[in-house]
Formats: sequence, C-alpha cells, structure tokens
Amino acid sequence: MSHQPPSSLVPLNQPRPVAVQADAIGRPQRIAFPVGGPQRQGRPHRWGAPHAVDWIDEAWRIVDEWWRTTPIARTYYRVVLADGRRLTLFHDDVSGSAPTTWFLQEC
Amino acid sequence: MAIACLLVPAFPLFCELAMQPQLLSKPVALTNESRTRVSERTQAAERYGVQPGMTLREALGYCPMLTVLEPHAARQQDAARLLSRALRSVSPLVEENAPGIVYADLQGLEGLYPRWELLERTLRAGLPDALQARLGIADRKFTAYAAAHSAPAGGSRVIEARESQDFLAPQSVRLLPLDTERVERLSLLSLRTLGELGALPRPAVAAQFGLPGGWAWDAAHGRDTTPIFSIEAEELVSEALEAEPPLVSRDAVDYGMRQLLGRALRHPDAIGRFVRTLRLEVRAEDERIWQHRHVLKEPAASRETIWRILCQILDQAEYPAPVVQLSLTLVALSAESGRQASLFPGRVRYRRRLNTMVQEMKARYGASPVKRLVEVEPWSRIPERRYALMDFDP
Repeated sequence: MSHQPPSSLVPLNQPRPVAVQADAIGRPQRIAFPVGGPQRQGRPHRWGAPHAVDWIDEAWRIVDEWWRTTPIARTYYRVVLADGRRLTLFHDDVSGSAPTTWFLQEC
Repeated sequence: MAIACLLVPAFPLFCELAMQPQLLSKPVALTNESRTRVSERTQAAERYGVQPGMTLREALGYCPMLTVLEPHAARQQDAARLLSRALRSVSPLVEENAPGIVYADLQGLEGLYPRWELLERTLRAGLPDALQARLGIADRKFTAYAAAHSAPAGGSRVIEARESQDFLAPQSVRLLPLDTERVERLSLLSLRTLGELGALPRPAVAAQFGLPGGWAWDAAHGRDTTPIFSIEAEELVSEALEAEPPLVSRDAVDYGMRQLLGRALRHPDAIGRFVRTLRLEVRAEDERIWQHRHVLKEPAASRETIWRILCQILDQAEYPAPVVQLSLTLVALSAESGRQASLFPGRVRYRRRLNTMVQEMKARYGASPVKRLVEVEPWSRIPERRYALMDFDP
C-alpha cells in the first residue's frame, strides 16, 4: 500500500532576503540581491553589487499577531532604484538579531 | 472645404421654440430642470434685462410679458437626431460633439456638391426652420465652429483656408472649448480675442495653459488638427406606436410593446437576422422619457426569447406618467447567430485527461506536481497570507 503524503498549502509571495544598507533613521539607501542558488539553512547568503535607492515613494508599518509567540512587526518601503526599478521591501522589526532583517515582497 | 459644423446656440431653448415658432421674436425664457431659474432666453428677453441664472420671479419683474417655457428631454433628443441625420444625409463621417453641435467631414464630397449652396440645401431639407441651425464650413474643425457661430441665425458662413486666420483674429476667446477656469485666466490676462492669443509665442501660452493652451494657440491660427470622431451609424430596425388616449395600464404598455416586437421582427431588414441589443423608449404625457438599453447575452432571433427578456425589463420599468408613445429598436443586427463558444473547446474532455495525468503522476512521484491557486485570506494585511498553492487533487 503506497504512502499518500498530506496535501500541502504553499503560501505565495513569500518574503525574499536582501541586504540593505540603511541610513541613521533606518531608511534603505543601498540594496544588494542574493547571488547563486538557494542556500542551506544557517549558511550565509552571498550578495551581489549594491544598487543605490534613488527615492522612497511610500513607507508604512504593519503590526499584527502580537498575541502570538512570533508577532509580526514590519516597516515597508516602496522604493525606486537608481536604474529605475521599483521594489517593495520591508524591515523585520521583530527579528533584530537575525542575520537578515530586510526582505523583498510584492504588496 | 473639409469640415461642416451645424450649430444651434441655446439648444434647449430652440428645441422648445421649434414647437412654437410664433414665439421666436417674443421675449421667452427657458427654465432649468428644477423649473426655478432661467437657463436660456431669447434676444427679445435679453433686451428687457433677463439673464440666465435669475429666478423666475426676478425675470418676470424685468419683463412682465415674458413667456416661460419648460425644457423637455424628448424634444431635445428629437432635435439632436434631426441635426445628426441632416449631416448624415451628406457625409458618412459625423460627430455629435455636444447638444446642438454636430460636425461632418466633407472631404471628397466636392464632386457631389460642387457648390456649397447645394450641400446646404440638402442639409436643411430635413431641418425645421424654427431650429435656426447655423452652418459653418471651413478647413478645420474649430474654424468651422467659429464660422457657424458667426453665421446669422438659420444662415451659413463659409471660410476659405487662406482667410481663416483673418477671420479668427477678431473672434472672442470664449469660443474656445476650454474649461471655465482657463477662460477666466485668459480674461484676467486681458486676452479677449483669438488674435491677441495668437500674437503670443506658442511656448508661452502652452506654459501658462498646458496642453489645451497649445491646442488653443493652434486653433487661433486656424491650424487646429482635431479630427472628426465619427461613430458609425448602427444597423437597426425601429418601430413606434402612438397611444391616444395615453396608456395608464401596464398591461396595455406590455401589449403595445409585444405588438412592436412582432412588427420589428417582420421588418425586411430583420428577417433572418439576429438581434444583439434592444433599445426601449417610452414617452410620457408630460414629455418625459423612460429609456432602457439592454444588451443580450447572446444574439437572439426568436420572438419568444426576445419577448421573455422584454417582459423582465418591462416588469421593472417605472414610467413617469401616462404613456403616449412607445418605441422599440432592434440594434446591432447580425447575420449569424454569433453564439458564444467555450474558450476551451471540449473542456470536459480536457479536464478528464488532466485528471488521468495527475493521478498517474501521483502514483509515480507520490504527490501531485500540479497545483491550484486558492485564496486563503485575500483581505490580510500580511501579503504572504493572501494566496497559496494547493495540490490539484482530481
């Protein structure tokens, strides 16, 4: 009798890590994207050349699920890079000590 | 000569005067929709000091013998159709720009109408004189409009291309179809005529008034390049029924409409054709109109099918007063049934094949690699919670 794995639900639009150099008040100034294939758990990412942020279109904050053990607190920025690309990224305000605290995510 | 403009200034007023031409030279005012203020007035009333915006009491104070008329949407609609039909009688490219302003492209009609008087005669054949439509003919759209504006009531004016700039120079800037704010600014800058506007450098006008400013400068020089936005005349069959005395029973209206449908479907242009759109119009005793346009989900030719749809529409209709006229128009007649086919022909068969393939893959790999997009919490503020992929399990 074959084993039937349980049906899974894969969330879409998962945050993807990016390296961000922020200014004194925490706004993104330069962004570097990961290079190479997916990394194993715990291994550091390798980052490509940084891209300068030309301007920030919009910034907003989400605080949710504060009643759970892993609450959500994020500061989102909609930015335009010097090469004209538009991105939405957020800073994870909860995992302060994690190696990566900035993520890309479409909103 | 490329463009003709047929213009009826103070259109709602002249639509009413067309019904009572004996009032043309008398002081007459037309009320607004709420029938409390003056919206238009004749020249005779203007001489007494009657102005648009005045209350009726004020207007009657200025001119005790003033005749006050109420606007009727039905009459305006009829007059607009007449204007449009008059221009369509000479050119297939006709633009209904605004109530009382219709343009036609006359390009290539020189052979048919070597003299513009012939064209004007054909145009005016279907127009009531009391409408006092003015005809302007010029090489550009705006120049044609200005020519129509400067023509005498019920007369015409032709502006040759070489004289358009001289003709436009003394005309008021208020002729330009700009918004009120821009017209006010022109006046604040002491720009009263098109000549004064045209004397300025184009970049300066465009800098002050934006894109419309640049267009206005071109128009003032007789170089407006706006084309005629013509809507192709629809293929239709229309039937109407007059009711005397007015119909007060809904059953009678339904019966009348059923008769119209039968007549319309027996019309030679409708035999063997399919209908895509229905247009219903009911005129009430007080000249108010109830209109409804219904696009059929799929073209229909059967009387029963169309009647079933008409019944649903008529059930929900709210007529403003006892009905004096019914009309039914079958629009967008098509030769074929035009039945909407499925985007994926043989969808059931396709689905069965997909199910078999998914089951085979599950048997081989242990899980289905085909996923289905599902909404989890589409309202969530957290983006990754909104949608997910789920195994496609047939």
